[in-house]
Amino acid sequence: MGLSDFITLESEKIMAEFEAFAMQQLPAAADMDVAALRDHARQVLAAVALDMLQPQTKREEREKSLGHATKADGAGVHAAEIHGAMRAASGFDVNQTAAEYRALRASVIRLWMESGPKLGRDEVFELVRFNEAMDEALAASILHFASEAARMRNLFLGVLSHELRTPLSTIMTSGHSLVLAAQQNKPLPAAAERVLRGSRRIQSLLDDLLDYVRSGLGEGMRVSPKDVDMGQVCGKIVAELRANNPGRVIELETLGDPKCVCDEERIAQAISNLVGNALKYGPADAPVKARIDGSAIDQISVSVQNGGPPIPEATRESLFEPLVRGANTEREGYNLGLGLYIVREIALAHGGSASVESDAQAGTVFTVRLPRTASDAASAAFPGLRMN
Amino acid sequence: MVVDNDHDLVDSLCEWIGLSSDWTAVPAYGPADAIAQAGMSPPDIILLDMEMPGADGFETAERLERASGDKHSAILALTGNADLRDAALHDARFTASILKPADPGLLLVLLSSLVPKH
Repeated sequence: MGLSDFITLESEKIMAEFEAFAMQQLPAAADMDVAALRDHARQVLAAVALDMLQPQTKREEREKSLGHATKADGAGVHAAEIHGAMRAASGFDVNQTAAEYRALRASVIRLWMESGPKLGRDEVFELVRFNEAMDEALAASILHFASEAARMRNLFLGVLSHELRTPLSTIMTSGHSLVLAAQQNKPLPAAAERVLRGSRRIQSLLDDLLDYVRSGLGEGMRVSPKDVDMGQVCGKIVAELRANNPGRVIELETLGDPKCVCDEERIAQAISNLVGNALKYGPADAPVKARIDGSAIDQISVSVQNGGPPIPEATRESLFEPLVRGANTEREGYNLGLGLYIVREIALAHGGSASVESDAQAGTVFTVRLPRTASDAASAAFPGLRMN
Repeated sequence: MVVDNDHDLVDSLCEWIGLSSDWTAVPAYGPADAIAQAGMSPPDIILLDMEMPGADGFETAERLERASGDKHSAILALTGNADLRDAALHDARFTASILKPADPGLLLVLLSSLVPKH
């Protein structure tokens, strides 16, 4: 059977092989919808098969080998452009994006060779066409990956400078007022408080930014696990947030054994982000409910629930992406849209996971699940465990 | 009038203007608050944040202009976003456009050039 016919007829088999390879090779694919991964590879492949069937003159062949394909003959190019932009948005790096093409090419050629085609002049010619179409698609995908990544970087820098400039304004203005008031021997305690609050805000933005940059370098977040009582960790956070949010009700309940092995500071950061979000996005008159569930032997989870309208299903997963912010930002509190991204990075670094569920009855619940100990993480085959 | 959804910044600017001049600065913590106040007692100058949640700065400026009626308050854009600063510079609804952080001393100079002499 010719290669293009083979691709069309055996696409299911190729997809199964490709998926197995992709899941194994691509860490970012672990967080990704399998359907999304498959759908796009299928489109790229279908377009490549179509591309191969187009009549091609000698000149076009040469142009293509030089990377000058025209838009008109490249259905594969279009599918690949979308692919590149999508991968940039899903947190893939450029190597992983290219690896998908390698996987696809390897799967196709291996399975085709296994099917025992007679290798005459036409078959070799088809193989050349296939490789050219794949190269073209890969180049288009990488180009769009790069421009999407640049767009996101600019967006991020814009948000960053905006979020820093407002507290900086407060600090500058209140500082000038304090100097003027001191000359008149007048204390201005409110201005001093604003300077401190503004500085803390800038500090927390910079901390988030550092976590983001570090985790974005492919290293992931580093954690130093120790014996920790999750009940104490959550108790401290809840007490602090209650003090800072008078009038709000924050409940804390513990089921089972709250002891586990984790990086206390990082886990506290994650839970504090979740409870802070629940206070910010949930209605002011509804309680925020935090719950530690240690009833399972090999894992422990912390969930934080708030009331209010459910988050539409389509936008739920993207909440964990960097730079995504919830719709209700009416109330005080600034962020770079990194809070939930950092929560998930912390969970992944422990070999755990972070998820969200939302419906009209139960409200919105964010849950962090952690293996109870590092050996639980290893035995449960959590691939993301990264420890110092 | 100082309009921003960031309370600390509004309070800082009002305090600074109060301490360093003989003008009265009134706070407005959001667009609705600002429009209501401008309707009741139109200020000479409005310092307007361009990025308040749920409000477009240009639209808010237009509504403030209408609310202030015959007074024709001068509206100054105050924003942390350089693109919006530039856009407001070229927009007739704004008398001036300033990038945060505004230097408090220069802000006073600018305000004194705009305050009508009584």
